Amino acid sequence: MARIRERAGVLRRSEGGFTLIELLVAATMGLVVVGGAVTVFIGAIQSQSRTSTKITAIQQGRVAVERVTRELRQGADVTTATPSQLSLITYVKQSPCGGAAAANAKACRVTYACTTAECTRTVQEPTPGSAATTSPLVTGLASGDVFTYSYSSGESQPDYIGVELSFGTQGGGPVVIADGTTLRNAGL
Amino acid sequence: MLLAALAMAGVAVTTSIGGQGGAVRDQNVKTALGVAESGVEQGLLQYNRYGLVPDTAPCAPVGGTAPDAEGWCPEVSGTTVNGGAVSYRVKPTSTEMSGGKIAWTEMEVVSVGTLAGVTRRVDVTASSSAGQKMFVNATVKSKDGINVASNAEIHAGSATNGDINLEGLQCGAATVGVGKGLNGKGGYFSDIDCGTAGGEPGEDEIDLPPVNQGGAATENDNYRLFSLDQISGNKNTACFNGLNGTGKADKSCGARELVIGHNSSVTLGGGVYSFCKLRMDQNSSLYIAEGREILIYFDSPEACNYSSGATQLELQSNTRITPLAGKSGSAALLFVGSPDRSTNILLNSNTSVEEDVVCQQNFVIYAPYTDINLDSNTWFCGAMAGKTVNLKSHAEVWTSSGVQEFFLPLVAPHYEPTRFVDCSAVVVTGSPSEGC
Repeated sequence: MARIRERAGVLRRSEGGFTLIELLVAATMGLVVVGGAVTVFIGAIQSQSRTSTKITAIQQGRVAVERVTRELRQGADVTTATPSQLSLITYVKQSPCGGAAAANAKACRVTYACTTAECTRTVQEPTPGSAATTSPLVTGLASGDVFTYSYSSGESQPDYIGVELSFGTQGGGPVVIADGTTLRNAGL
Repeated sequence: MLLAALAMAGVAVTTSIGGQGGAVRDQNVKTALGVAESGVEQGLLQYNRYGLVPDTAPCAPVGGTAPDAEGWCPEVSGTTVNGGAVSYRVKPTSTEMSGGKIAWTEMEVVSVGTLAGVTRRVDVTASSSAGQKMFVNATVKSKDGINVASNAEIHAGSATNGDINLEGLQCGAATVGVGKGLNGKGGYFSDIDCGTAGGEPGEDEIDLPPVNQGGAATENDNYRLFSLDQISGNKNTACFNGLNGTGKADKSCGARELVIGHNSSVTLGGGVYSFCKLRMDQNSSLYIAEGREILIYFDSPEACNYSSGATQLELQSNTRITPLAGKSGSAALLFVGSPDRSTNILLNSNTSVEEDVVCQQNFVIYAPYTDINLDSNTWFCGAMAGKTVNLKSHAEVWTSSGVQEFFLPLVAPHYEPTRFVDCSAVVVTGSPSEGC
């Protein structure tokens, strides 16, 4: 009989469970943790989309700004200078201008025209009115005002041109890629 | 789910690192470009401080050995700028002057800058005026543009980097700047006798390097005025360096300013003069002594303490610069000028530079930073080059037979950049300028 009681006591101890309060607390904590993880997950998914858009804008902007500033750096003579349009004589590795790629650079007229949607780049021989080749340079802009100009006192030609590409993104502020350069061939 | 969130965070971190890496690379590109440009400056500095480059050793300023078959001097490397390695090669180009003398008038510098695996190359062409034959293809030249008013005439080849605004006559082949044009209702002919219609002008870049006066500001023949180079007429009205023709103090002229009063004349018999200003009043004359070939340098407005807009050569009405009657002689008026302070040349109405109607003398005005203005009824025979050239009504410019052979004086060269090209970054194995 004593052994039976002892055996029953062992069984009761080994079957010890949680109280109802313990279960409720544990369940609440579990819900908080899972809820947090779900929130983080959803946020991550949403931000991944925004981040991806911004990354695309940044990469596109970097390439475009690098390309534009490189041509501006070699610029000699600016014929149109507005915030949304820039036309200048610069060196381009094409022969004829706007045609096939060439090993060495020649003087061409390059025109950038920007709207709130995109910027285009037109290349032609320096003579006004000559045949032109136009191609898109960058898309997804939030503003067509891309170029800024600095002039030395009394000069009609800018000696420094700033380039600022502003891209609209989903949520948050725009992504802005900015650079600028002096025209190395101006006045030479 | 937690793992997924962590993965997302990992992607974000990776993206951020990638973005920062891109920014670093952008910065390295800019630095590498700056390093490459510093190589060009080093090359130009080596030549500009060297003095006269030897005829047979054009690479002496950067190494002293002969150039290769294509004319490139040995590579100069081993220096570091802003943490980037720079190397450059120079290709000097010569002009053969009269008597077989060589002038190294142009050089090309290709420079490579490398920083943290980013390479940038630039190609810069630079030229020096010393020993250049400036008027081979055109005897009227302008950096910024040529303006010919109605009834004004140019009987000479013209070339400019700007437009030609033509209401009068341009008789002689003309070129305008790249992308520029010949505008106006005037007549354009391809020959100096206005016989053949010119059609469309060519487009070309011209180079007018600045005047290098060497030591002329201090080593000159100014001392001859007015002892050996005498005044004819009223000596009280001629003035040089603060003294009139009688040796008395005169406030009408300052340091290195020559004023020739009305109805007076001065005959120059020296070789090199250095002025800040030459003013000739009405009916005065400046004669060139027989057989003399005179260089008159006009110093920079900074050196002369002039503000912007100064007129450094002013010929009032009915004045003359000419050889003595029936004699030969020539004069070159070389203006140092300034890129920062504008200067002017004013030939007023009825003035003449070389009044012989057959126009045989070699008169030259070379003033790449100075605006040249020819007022109504001005006659000029010879060659001129200025920042702008402006002819008013009935002004005429004629070319002389020998002026195309005129060389700017051969002094220690000073090279100034004339063309910049941002080359492909890849360093090729062919010519150093390939891909530029």
